[in-house]
Amino acid sequence: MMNAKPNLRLPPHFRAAYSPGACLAACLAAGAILATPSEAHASQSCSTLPGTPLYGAGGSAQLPFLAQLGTQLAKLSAPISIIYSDSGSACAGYEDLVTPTTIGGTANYWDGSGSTLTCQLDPGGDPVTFAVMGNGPTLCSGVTALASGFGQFLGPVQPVDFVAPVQSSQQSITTEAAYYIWGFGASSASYAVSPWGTPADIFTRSASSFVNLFVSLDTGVPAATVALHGTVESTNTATLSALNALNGTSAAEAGIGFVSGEVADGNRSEIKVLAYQHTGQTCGYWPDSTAQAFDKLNVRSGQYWLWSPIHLYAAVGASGQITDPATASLVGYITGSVTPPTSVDLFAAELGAYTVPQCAMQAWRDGDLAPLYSYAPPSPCSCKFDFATENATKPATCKTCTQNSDCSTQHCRNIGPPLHSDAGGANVGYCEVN
Amino acid sequence: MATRNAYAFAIAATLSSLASMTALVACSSDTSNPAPTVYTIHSDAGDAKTTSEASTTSTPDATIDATTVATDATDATKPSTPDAGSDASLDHASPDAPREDAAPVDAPIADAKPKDAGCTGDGGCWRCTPATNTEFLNQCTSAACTPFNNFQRLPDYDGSLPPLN
Repeated sequence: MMNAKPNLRLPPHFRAAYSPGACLAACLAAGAILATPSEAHASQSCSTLPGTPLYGAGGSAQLPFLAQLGTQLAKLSAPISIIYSDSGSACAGYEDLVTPTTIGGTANYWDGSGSTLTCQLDPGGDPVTFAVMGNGPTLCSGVTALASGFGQFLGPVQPVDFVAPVQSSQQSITTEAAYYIWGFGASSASYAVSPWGTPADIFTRSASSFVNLFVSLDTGVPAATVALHGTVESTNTATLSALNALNGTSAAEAGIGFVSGEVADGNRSEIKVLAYQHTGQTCGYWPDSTAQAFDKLNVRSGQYWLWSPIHLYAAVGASGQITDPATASLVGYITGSVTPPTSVDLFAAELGAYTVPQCAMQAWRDGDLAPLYSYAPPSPCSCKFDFATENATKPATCKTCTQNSDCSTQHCRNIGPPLHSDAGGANVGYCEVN
Repeated sequence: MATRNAYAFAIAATLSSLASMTALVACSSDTSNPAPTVYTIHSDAGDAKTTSEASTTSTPDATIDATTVATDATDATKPSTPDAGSDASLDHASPDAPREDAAPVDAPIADAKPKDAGCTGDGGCWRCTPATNTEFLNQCTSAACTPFNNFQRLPDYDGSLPPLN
């Protein structure tokens, strides 16, 4: 544990934005929890971690969110230890759950310090009770439907980002450019998209990873072909590291890859998110209102195409209820169907992982890159999210409040400790549209 | 299918070309969206500017200050809570199996042309409540954007994609 690498990275605006006494302080005052795994700490046995162990498997794209939540749960008086293996991929984790297959080797866990640590799984392997992906199961090769006896549950929303080294001058990319890059891998000048014409500096992922599957679905390039073109990295964080290694070199301009927004946004000092122009779109947009913002404005409105809610999977009974009680609690905390302990702040976890709570979405879709439709959450938190992310262009109706009459919308919601030190009052709410 | 996608790409290409020449109009179509403000389109060239840089540095053919148009749309639909199990039942093609014509999926086709001229803002942005992918993707907005010109950047690109090897 002594050699654990603290995952304490926080965008400057977050560091400045939250008061020490704010409701988000529990996780954010300790610093943002980034899911970069620590140096090996496999001497710790996973099975002897304190409290209730919960074994899961899946993709690395969602590691920042699990880190945020896992850190909070580890600090409970009756702690829950999330033990998560991302050594396979999104689809491999899903298969581990539904086949079922035990996981072995090392796994990630969180002890409440803000660090992502690793522990040693049991020699005989451990069964998982939940899986996490960014995509639905039918995007996984050979899967035609959600496995019988298992349920799918949706969490906060994350974008998939095309990214380049932070020193790259590139700003945007289109669906068609991605088709060229990962469809041909700069195999010849006839297909090379400048400045991304060096095969080794194009980074890709396996055909069973969420981010590959989304690039494949988006471009029409088969996932196996996407995986063939470029240097294959094993995780989102590995892609990040590979691109960062190009900074300071003459190859910085040539580097390009794709990672989850969770991973990208926690590492903007190393990589830059490219604006994305989908087919039929007249301009390229960042997930946020600008390249520097964290407001996820375009994800929330549906103007940024590449996004998906975090998908969780668990065994369910005939009524559709998750059968394992501890897993049911974890998933319920995330979906909102179970009220978490008072010290657990799901909004803070979602914010700290650079995801978007469903209550802040104004567009939705029913499936992987499925058609968009307008969405009005039953208990919206768009205004709260705007305040939390310092959205400079939030609606004029979005103000802090203490009662409905303070709002022109007549809906003062989410009353609690202020997100910002300058919000005033012991408790404030936010004027939401309904 | 190939014809359909070629049509879609032709429309997309036309729109993309227009974007690089025409100022988009910032506007808002949803009361829960940010208030519209003036924004800047950035060049997709290698020397792209930040928003603040763009305001003081001229890039002749790409940095365009947009004007503002306010809208007061309040007719947002109220769909149900997301269906947690919905996409498990979708009939996605196997990602490892080449698609019919290896063209991008979800390319706007039938809805690529605005149906209601009254909802189309300057530069072609959609200022009413969006209902189709094209309308969502081209909403009038306060967000910054940076066009990428496929015709300038992709080798021999003519609006259609070359078949995969």
